[in-house]
Amino acid sequence: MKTEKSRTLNALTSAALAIPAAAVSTNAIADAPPTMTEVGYRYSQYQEDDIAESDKVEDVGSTQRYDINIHQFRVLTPVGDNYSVDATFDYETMSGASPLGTIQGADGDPLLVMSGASIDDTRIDLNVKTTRYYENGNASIIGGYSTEDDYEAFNLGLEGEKHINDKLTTLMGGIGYSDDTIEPTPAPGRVTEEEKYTATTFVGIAQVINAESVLQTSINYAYSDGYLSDPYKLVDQRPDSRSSIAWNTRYRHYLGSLDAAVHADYRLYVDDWDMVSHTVGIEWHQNIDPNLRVIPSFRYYSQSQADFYKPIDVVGIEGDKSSDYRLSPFGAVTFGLSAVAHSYNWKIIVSAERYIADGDLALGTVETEHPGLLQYTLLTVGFDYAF
Amino acid sequence: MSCKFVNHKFVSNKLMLFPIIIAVLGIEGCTSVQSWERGELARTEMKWDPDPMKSALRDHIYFSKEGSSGGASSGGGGCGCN
Repeated sequence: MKTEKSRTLNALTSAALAIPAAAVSTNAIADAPPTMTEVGYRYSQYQEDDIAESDKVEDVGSTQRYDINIHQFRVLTPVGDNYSVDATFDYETMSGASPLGTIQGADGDPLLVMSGASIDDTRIDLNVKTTRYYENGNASIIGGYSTEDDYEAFNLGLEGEKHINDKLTTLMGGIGYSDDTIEPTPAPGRVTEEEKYTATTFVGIAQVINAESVLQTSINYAYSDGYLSDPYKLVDQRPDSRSSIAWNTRYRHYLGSLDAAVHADYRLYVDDWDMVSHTVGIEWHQNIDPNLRVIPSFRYYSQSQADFYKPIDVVGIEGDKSSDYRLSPFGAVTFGLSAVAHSYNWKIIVSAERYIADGDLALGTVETEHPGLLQYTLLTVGFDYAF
Repeated sequence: MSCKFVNHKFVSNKLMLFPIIIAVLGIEGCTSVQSWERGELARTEMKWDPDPMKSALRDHIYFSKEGSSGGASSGGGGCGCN
C-alpha cells in the first residue's frame, strides 16, 4: 500500500517537473491593471456544532466547540500605468473548546477528551500583492504576515503569467516560502517554542476552448520541514517533514441561453504521509436580472488517513502517532447559496454554507469514525465598492 | 483497534482519470477564438475566482479543518488550527 502511494507521488512529481514554468490569469482575456480602485469588506461568522455528550469523556471538558468571527478588508488599486496593489487584512476571533485527544470507551470506540470552553484566540493576517503588467503577461510579488496569540508566520511569494497563442493559452507559475513559529501556552511537558518552514511551487496552463469555455490545470508541490505536531494534544508526534502534491483542474462554461456560468473544479492531493484526497466543487452562477446573481454551490471532499493516525491515543509507544481528526479518514460535503446584488460600481454579497463531515461520506470504508468530525454553518455578508 | 480505508485506493485510481479526460477533451475542442468573440469569457462570473475574499476565507477554513490543502498560488501563512 505504502509503495503504491509513493509511486503515485513520484509519478506526479515527475509530471510537475516536466511542465515548463509559467501561469494562468484570473481572467482569460487582457492583462492590464484595474481601471478603478476597489474596496471590499466581508463579515463572516461560523459556529461549529456541539460535540454529542455521548462522544466525549463524561464530566471532562466542554461540548461547545469554536465560535469564530472574521472581518476581511481588501483594497485593490492601480498604481501608475502598469502596476496594481492588492492588500487584504483579516481580523479573526475564536472561542470555545477543542479536542485534546481520545481514549477507548466501554464499547471499544474512541471517546473525545475535550478542553474547557475557555480557549480564546485572535488572528491577524495581512497580505500585500504587487503586480506589474506587461503586454502579454504579468509578474507579482507577495508578502504576508499573520499572528495569533501563540503563532506567528511570515510568507513571501513570486508569481508570473505569460499569454501565448494569441492569448488563447496562458502559462503560469510561482514559488512561495513561509516561516512559522509557535509558542504554545506554557504547560508541564509541552514544548516552549518550535519552528517550521514551508516551500511551495506551482506551474499550470489555461486554455480558451471556445467562446464560452476555458480550462485550467495546475500542479502545486509543497514541502514542510520542522515542528509539524500539535503541542496542545495529549499525545501527538508527527514526522518532521511533509511533501505533498496537489493537482487542480478548473473549468468555466458560460451558458448563453440560460445567462449562467458553470464552475467545475477538481483537486487530487497526495502526500508522503500516505494521505490521498479528492475534492470536487460545482458552482452555478445564475444571473436573475442585470443587477442580481444567485450562486448555489456544492463541494465534496474525501480523504484517507495519515499512515501514523491512531483513532485512540496510546501513551508510551514509540514512533509517530496522532489522533487528530484532521488526519483521520472521512468525507465531507458543503452546500452553499450566495446572492450578489450589483451595479456598475458596487456589490452587496450575502451567503450561507453548511459543512458536514462524516465517516460515511468517505469514498472508502471507514471502520472507526473519529468522534471529533466537524459540522458548521458559515454566514457571510459584505460589499465591494469601486471608485 | 484499527481504522482502515479499505477501498480508497481502488476508487482513487479511477478518479485520477477525471482531470486527464477533461484536459484531453478541452485541448481536442480548441478552436481559434477571435478576440471579438471573447466577450462572454470576460464576464465577472467567468473569472477563476469571481470573489477572491470568499475564496481566501474558504481556503483558510478548509486548511484548518481538513488534512490536505494546496492550490494554484504561492500560498500564505498562519494556522488557526486549534
